[in-house]
Amino acid sequence: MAQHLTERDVRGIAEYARIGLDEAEVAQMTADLNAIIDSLKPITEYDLAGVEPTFHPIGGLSNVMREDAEEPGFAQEVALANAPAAQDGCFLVPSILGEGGDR
Amino acid sequence: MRVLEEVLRDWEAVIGLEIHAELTTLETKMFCGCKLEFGAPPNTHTCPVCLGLPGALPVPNKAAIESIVLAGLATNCDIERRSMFYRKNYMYPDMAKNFQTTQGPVAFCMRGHLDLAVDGPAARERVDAAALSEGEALGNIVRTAEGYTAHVGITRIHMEEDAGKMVHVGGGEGRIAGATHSLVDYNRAGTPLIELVTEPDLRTPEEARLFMQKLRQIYLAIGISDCSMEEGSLRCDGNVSLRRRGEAEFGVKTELKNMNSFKNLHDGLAYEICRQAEVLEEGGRVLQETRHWDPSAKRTIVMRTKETADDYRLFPEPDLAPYNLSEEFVERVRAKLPELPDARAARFERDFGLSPYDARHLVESAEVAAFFEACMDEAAAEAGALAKPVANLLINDVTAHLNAHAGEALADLPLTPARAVELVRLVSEDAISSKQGKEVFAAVLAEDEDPAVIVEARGMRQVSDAGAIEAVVDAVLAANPDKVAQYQGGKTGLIGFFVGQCMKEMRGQGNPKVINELLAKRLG
Amino acid sequence: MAAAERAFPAMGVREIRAGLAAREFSAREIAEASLARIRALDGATHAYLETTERLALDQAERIDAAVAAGELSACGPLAGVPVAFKDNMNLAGTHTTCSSAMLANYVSPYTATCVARTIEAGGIPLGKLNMDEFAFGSSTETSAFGPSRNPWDLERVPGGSSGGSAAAVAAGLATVALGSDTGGSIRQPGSFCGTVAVKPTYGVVSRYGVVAFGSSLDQVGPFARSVEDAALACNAIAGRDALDCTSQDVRTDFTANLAEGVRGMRIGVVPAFMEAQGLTSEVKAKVEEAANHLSALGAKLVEVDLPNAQAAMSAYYVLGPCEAFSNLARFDSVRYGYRDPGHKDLGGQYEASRAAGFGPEARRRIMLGSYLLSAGVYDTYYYPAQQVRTLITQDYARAYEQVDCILAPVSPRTAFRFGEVSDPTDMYLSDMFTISINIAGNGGMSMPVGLGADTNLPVGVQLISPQFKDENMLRAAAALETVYGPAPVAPGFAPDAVEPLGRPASLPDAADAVAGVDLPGLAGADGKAGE
Repeated sequence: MAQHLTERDVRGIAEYARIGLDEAEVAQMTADLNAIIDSLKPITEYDLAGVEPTFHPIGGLSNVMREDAEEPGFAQEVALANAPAAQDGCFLVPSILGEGGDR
Repeated sequence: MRVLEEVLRDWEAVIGLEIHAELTTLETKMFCGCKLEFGAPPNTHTCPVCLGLPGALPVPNKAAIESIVLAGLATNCDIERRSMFYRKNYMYPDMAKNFQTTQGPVAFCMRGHLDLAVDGPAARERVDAAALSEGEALGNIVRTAEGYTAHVGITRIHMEEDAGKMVHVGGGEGRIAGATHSLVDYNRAGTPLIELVTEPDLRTPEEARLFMQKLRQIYLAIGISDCSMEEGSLRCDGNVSLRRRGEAEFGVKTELKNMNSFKNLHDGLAYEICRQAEVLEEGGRVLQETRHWDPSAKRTIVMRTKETADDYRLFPEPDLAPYNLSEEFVERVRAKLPELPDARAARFERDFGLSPYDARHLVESAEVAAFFEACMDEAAAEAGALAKPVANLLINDVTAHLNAHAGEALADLPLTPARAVELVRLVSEDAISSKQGKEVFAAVLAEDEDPAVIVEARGMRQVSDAGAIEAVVDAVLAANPDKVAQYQGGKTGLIGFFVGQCMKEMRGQGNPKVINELLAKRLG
Repeated sequence: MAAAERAFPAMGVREIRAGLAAREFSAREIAEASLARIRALDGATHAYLETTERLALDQAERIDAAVAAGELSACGPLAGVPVAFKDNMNLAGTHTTCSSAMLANYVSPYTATCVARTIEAGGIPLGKLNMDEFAFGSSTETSAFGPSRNPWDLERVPGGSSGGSAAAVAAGLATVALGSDTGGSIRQPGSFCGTVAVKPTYGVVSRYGVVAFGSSLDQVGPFARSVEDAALACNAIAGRDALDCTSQDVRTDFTANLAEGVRGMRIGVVPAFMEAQGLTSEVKAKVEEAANHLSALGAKLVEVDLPNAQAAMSAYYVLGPCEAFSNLARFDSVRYGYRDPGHKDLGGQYEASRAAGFGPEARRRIMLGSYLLSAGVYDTYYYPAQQVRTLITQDYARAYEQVDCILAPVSPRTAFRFGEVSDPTDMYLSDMFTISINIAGNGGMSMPVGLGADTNLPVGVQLISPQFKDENMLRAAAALETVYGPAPVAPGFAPDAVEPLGRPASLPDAADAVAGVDLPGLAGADGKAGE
């Protein structure tokens, strides 16, 4: 099996995907992902020169839009009903700093 | 740190802008039917779509697509018939889906431009323009009589959605640093947002400011946004790098944020240019980083360093059908294009004989321009003669008043087009002096009364009768023989003293023009 | 037999309607007896995650009122029919867990269009059905709430990801159940449990309110024990929805040509499928048998070639994870979902909540998608996968120049034992015959054709339609049904079973779960679903 990803790569991917993995999980994930990526090989071997991609499965559908008309939404308590933590009508999250800050 | 004008003699600044405008004049959000309303109680304008609930799907607002096409047509862009939405994936709590729906390599609007007229003090920052003779071109600029024009390329305008709003609690002054937690409000999440990206064609902070001002005038004219910089519906980021004059290679750029007023845009860029020059002159290296303009400290501070490009895992949004805009769609939008500020200014020059400078400043505000046109209707046959003084009144007195009284609109002032015309007519007929004109203007605003009535009530009628003035002039000269001698000995600056004495004698009602003429004759 | 003891969910749509019309029983009796049957038997199958008693009784009351007023016909085609929904479909006031710990406590404030339409059509909503976590799997073994069991053999998986939906229908615990299919998730469990299982063409059924896995691949469809019931369910849920841009204006009556027979139909057979490695002889034999029956009924069998179909698997395992990675990013512990307690910084909370909230398969797919979309890698896998999609779509289009419908295996084998397939890449192979249909967007269905010769377990054959010609496969399926008969309730769950396999279930009810939240009444009460 080809080594597409190292454990270090996998840690980087996990960080981007925001999934905390311990050492054992990183090792297992690395093995699993390498096996799966191996199985994707056929896709890299096709001669696809000049073939247009199909990003949207049903061709012909385009310009689907709605009119600029207001629809009823949620009351504040409904919006917040599933919030793990809320305060002053807002969703509450712990300190963001160290999160890559701005965009 | 050296000052900007000095720095720009040695260094050329290369500036590009990214300008976000919320389409605040629409009723609803970009991908759902939630109402757009600034300042509503938190999380009262949400639904499954803009809260990013599991299973929700977006449906684009047709009016938003029309708005961006309108913006593209108004900024000389090509309208791309075929484009798609993409997902820009990154996790941040103000983004309900943790991806932003935006556009990919092809945006609705591509390859546009705006031409800026830069003159007066604003032109001084462009040191290489000074050496040109009128009509001569250099790069993207052409020298004019009053300054120069700059051709600024627009890379693209793409459609996207705004994020929610966050309040950071527990730190100082709502800052994220030191905050113990943050509160998220998704009312703004999903607000239709258009992002315009310029080419790196700007060379001075003034050009950047003028570009932003001009774009704002256009957006206001086409009615797609309230363009409120205070409320954040118009926002600007800048990319700045320096290179030695004469060099072709771009330097390392920094991205500048929080320039939320025209002044901050100018001052932030000016500071950053000087800062980079200092770093480079001391042999240092400019780091690729995002910096935040702090207007109170008057400096930029690092927000984060990014030595590698962000990887947003962009891919086509499968939940939204691609666009294939018809000719008919684009033409229907084009038919909605109003007269744009440049065209209006050209018409003012042509129809009323205004200077390019006056015409341009009149159209800076659609409201002022419309008022000017109403005045010209009022002036009827005298339009040609009164255009210049009416323009002056609007550009100087009215604009100064509005600038000094934030929140007041021209429409709310007691000054009507009829009163404005009456006022300038009184001055142009020499019934009152221009100085008295200013007093009357203030009185119109304060008392909500017609200029003629004010002039009458205050006995302000100007004395232009040469006989009456002659007597005063003679008396003043007779009372000051020593000053007369000094004047005739070469101290011609004393003319102001004599005029002042005459005016004092006449309680300010003497026509200064006649006084000046008579004094010149007597002293000559 | 007293009405309360009757196994209504083991009946068909037509039988229920006739009984209601004749006032042989009431909708209330249907609702109560159905819920009682679930309580009595679902402990064995674990098809249900939650029942919706109050919604069921409200709906029954509405139907009984209509019957009393002589207006049964106004109640819709599924009047009084016991229905249930895969737990990735939102129903306001009930949980939508996607069988994930991430959403264990999530109570939805809105209703999916397909759910609303089923209820508007008169269906009596019994509850929410188990599945593989976020639909990642082919066995329901990845459910955070324990797997469902195959009613034909409780030691075996029901298939997946819509395993609960298939099990509920096969066990006679629902007449119609909705599932979703991203790579075979309706058809494969349909085959394993011996039910009719339809994945319509992409765009036929609105996806609004169905928690997304692969947005360009997902499609909702029904499970039923007869072709007609499945077609009636399709009639109820199909059609344009203003809330889903990819839904289309479908006005087909899916029951219209069920009685036509297959005389004159051209039915394609793909030789490469029949020779595929891993296809068991009992399944192969059943497909050949079905082909012979169709031929005997007057259809013309035509060999067709799908030269790029073998690339579908790798394209699917690129596109699915990429879309899933992005779709599952919203589960971040901020607005809803599991929040790992005690974190002082958001980064730590994100990582711990997503690590604990997602199971191993969900984490694998998210990680894979994140990798495949990253700069540089995108051009190696994602973009070519979308090009391959073009080739596969063209393959099908070419094949349908020659045929009206294609016959193929669904799964290479019958239901496997729990734990028997543990390697992820092996598990992925169970979708080898179904995936290309999702890639191309065609309609496909599993039609039960009796039991396999070796395992004595249900086998389904796959019928595949051209895009928006779903009536073709239903027509061929109806012809096969004349040979094989309607799908039976699994023997151990049949109303007349000597010794029922059931044992009592202790299921939460939505009304308990949402104490203090006012449950909406019937469809449309949330004001968001449907057109």
